[in-house]
Amino acid sequence: MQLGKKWQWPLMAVALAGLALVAMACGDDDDDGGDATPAATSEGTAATGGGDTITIKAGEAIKIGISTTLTTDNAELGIPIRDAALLAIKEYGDIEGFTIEADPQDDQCSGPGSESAAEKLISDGVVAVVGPMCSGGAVAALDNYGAQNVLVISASTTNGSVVQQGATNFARTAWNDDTQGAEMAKYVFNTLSLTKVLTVNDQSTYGKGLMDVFKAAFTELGGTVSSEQAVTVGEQDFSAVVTTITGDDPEIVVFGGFIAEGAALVRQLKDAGYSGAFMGADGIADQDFIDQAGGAAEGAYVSRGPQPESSSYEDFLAKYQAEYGADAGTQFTEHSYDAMTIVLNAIKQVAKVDADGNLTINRADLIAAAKGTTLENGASGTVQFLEDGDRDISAGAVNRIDQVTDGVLTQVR
Amino acid sequence: MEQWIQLTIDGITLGGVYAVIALGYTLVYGVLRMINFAHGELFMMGAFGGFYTLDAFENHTNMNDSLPSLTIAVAIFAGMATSVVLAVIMERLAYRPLRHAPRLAPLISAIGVSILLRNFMLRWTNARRQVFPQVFPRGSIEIGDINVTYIRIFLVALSVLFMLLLYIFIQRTKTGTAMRAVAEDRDTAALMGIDVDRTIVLTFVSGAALAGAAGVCYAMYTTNAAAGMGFLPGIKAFTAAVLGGIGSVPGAMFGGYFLGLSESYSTKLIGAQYKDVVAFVLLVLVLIFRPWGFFGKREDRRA
Amino acid sequence: MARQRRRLPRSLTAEPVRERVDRFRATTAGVQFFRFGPYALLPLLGAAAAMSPALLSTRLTFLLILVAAYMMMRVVDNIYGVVVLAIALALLPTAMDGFERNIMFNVALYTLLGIGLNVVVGYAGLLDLGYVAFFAAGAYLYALVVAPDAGSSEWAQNWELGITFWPVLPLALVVAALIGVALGVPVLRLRGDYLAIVTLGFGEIIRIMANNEDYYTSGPRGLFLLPKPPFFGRELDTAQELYFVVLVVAFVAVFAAERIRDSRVGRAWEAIREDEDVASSMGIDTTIYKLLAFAIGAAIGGVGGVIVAAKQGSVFPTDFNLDVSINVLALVIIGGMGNVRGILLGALLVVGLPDVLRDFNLDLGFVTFQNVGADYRLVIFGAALVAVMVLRPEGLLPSRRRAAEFREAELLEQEYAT
Repeated sequence: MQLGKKWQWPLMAVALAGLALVAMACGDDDDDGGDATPAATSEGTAATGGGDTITIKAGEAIKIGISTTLTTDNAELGIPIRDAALLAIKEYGDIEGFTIEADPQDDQCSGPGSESAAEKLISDGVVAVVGPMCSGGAVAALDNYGAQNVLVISASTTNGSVVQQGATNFARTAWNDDTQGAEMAKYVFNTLSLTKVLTVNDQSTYGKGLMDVFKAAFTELGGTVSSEQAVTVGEQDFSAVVTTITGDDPEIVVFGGFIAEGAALVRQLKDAGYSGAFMGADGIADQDFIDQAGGAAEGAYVSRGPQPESSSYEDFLAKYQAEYGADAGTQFTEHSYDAMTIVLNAIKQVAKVDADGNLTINRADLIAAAKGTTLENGASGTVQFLEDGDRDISAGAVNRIDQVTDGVLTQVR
Repeated sequence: MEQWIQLTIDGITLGGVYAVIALGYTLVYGVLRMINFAHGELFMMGAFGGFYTLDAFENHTNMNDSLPSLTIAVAIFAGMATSVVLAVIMERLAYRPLRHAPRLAPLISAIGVSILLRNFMLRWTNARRQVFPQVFPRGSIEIGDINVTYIRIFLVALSVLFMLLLYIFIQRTKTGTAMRAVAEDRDTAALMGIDVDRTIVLTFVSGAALAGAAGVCYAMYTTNAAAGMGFLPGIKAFTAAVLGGIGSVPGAMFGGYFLGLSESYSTKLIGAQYKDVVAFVLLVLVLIFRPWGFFGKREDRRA
Repeated sequence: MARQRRRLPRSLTAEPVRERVDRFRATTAGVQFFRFGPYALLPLLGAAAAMSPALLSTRLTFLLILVAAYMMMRVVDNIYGVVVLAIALALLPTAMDGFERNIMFNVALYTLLGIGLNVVVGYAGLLDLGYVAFFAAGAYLYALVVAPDAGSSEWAQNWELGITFWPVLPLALVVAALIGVALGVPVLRLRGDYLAIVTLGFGEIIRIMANNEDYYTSGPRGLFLLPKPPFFGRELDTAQELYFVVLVVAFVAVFAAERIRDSRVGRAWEAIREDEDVASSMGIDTTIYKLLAFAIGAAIGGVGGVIVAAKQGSVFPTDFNLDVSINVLALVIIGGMGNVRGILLGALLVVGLPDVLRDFNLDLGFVTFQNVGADYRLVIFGAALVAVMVLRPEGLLPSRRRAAEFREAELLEQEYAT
């Protein structure tokens, strides 16, 4: 062909466009989960959500995916989430003679990472997924999971936007920040009787979102937020922020963010001579926070989810400590443990063994079973879900407030 | 008013750290015309070197309590040693083969080293921050409302000391002169009998030693070390070096302090979330009027 | 009248096949067919192998290696090679499962971004470390224009444009180009590494502003519920379909970029890249050409942003961090600058490799390392970057021009070696 070289690319474009039209016309009947994989097959249409069935051949294992952060800075929180879920699987035993296998994938706490992890888990043929870890990632990945109607229960996405996606296959054992922020405001205003507050956030979806909610609720109660400061994740020297805070002299500093920044902030505040109170949320509810802050965390308040009435929480802590030799850390671990337990219970409830000894699970039934569950004595208390997948707070009390006393978190409410 | 003094002190502390790291960037750039993206990781590895040393002292002896100045000094040297060893390896494996390559190749190689080191340490520490044992005496000097912790004074003093030492080293010693010669014109320096390879390695070593020491001190100041702690300071220090004129030692020092102070003041004036924006806007403004940085020399287009 | 003895049609003569083949071989078309034809089978073989169940577990790795090997044979410079590559790329997703299609989408997207950055860095020689700014601009533009109120920011809820995906593409082109010019103006006087740090700063500024201007961009809460592109009554909502969109856009972009490169503008860029002062003293208006480079590179990046926003259905400021800029730069350089096929190869490595390594288990026979991929893939990736650069600093598939330049420089250095 004697066409000049310059035409090769538009030729390619035209060829591709043509092929694309053809492929899309017939290709859509071909589902994305396509070929047979060793462990499970997933048939079903991508378009509608109902009626999918997943079959696990006799002798194969039931795979459950764990989407959490393993490689970025948030891995500090992500790895214990994985470990707690693994613990739940280990304790559960098997279902109808089929062993349960975990498939942990790294979602990098980001949109693209969570999507990639989602697609990997789907093509690995998982029955359900515990995760993703971060709110932003969940918002992106729910489309992917929804296309295959995979049950997804998240232990740590707390932002309101996640349940506003309208995803029917999603639920979370984590508490909604909208609730937590409001409860924190009430506690500061009513119980501590403090009216002048300064908020600090870490500019993340979680931290900033929580502080926004807090501010709105607090102002509505009649208090004032004298200023809103921010710190950057990854930095450790907050001297300028601290100087600004001491100049402002609020009665209490309320912090939305995670352990590393929280510990650095509270320590530097103490060193600078700040004498007011400090309050953080579930992102710092971890012994690591106290350790990293040195003695500076003494007296700090920490808001967390409601306290379970039974001893199931302590039992969980003991089991985790025995298995991994480390403290269970933030609340997300018990949420993860509960999420996995709910998933396993739902599978047990819904799975049927057919004539050939294969296990069949109807996805829609699984989702309905999981979302309709009431888990009593979960590690984080009684778990129930609302219609949109959010955790039902009426099932538990108002959130628990701890205070750091003698170097440990002790409940005060 | 006192708040501004406090802010200035804050800025100088941070700026000193940036300046020391920036010196490493500028030295390497001077002799190799290359941005060592992995320099921030040298800072981080130095901090870990110091951490493991202090940790060992803590667990096996009680020298941390009885002779803190000794253990801290040893820790700093350990940090410097870690960074130096790493820098030599880096130079040998990742940069020397690329000495005659197009300018962007060593840049990508450096990025690769940075990713490798950061993620390796992340795995090694299992993503947990390593908390330093409390060795440096706590406490502070208070003048009115101004509060300066002892370690901050130590950090500032050490930064200035290192900078002075480096300056003397570069200006007065034979090796330093060799470094300046190689930075000026590599081929002529070779003709003059200077061992270029050795000089380059020594340049890396000097920069790395500074970064390592800074790493240990900074980690003691913030009381912990983490795998990602070098990334942001690395980029900031690079900014500082460019601001002062990359390749210029006084420029790096100036740039570091300038950046530290600007971060401090802009946190108060605009808010911490915008301090990086302010820093970069200032950078652009400076470069508009002096495209070679404050103390930079007019380079030929090869830059 | 003498009747010409009609020649029998060739096919009926007794000419042996071999001679006919030789005669065909002598023609231009024949030369090309025989030179490149066998290689054209390679990706087709790969596609066939991909569909066989036997290769399932290593399928994607296998395919990537095949495509990479194919491209490295330089046969793609030929028209047949190009056509076959196009067919292979088009068919590839049909042989893959969802995870692999997602990877291919990302590869295609980063190829598009690489083409855009290549205009700035490869053609004009302007080191840009903040390319993510244009990418973010396109993504946010789409999000602000199309997000329904539930997922939108306060400011964007006030106006209703009622347009969907396709009109946003040209809009993003223009807006991103304008931003490119705006970013280019202050840096006109800067060279080399100074330019690098300032552009890095711009990338960060865009991200920080997106994160903090809640009223306009909804800050860290992000914009979500973004609709997918409509297509004759359906929506394009799978990775595969959007992959095609990206590929078509990418090839249009390549066409445009290469045409421009081969024009006066491209020659001006080359002059600027080689030696800016000499270029301007030759009468080239460096300002205009530099701004043009920024504008075109930005436009391509902006379009990429729109597509990603549509695919992901949401935009968050954390999606646009420094890592994106660095990844795009790395893939352009690793692939070999100034060369589109190199960019595709670079994208396969930089984007595909970390994800392909997810499953990687190292089995040495006497000891098995489980989860090597999951835990160490970024470490491996960093090491791979260094290895590629050290072993082949001009890139894996540099254009002939660059390879020649590089070898020439190397020879010169060796002559004057110290």
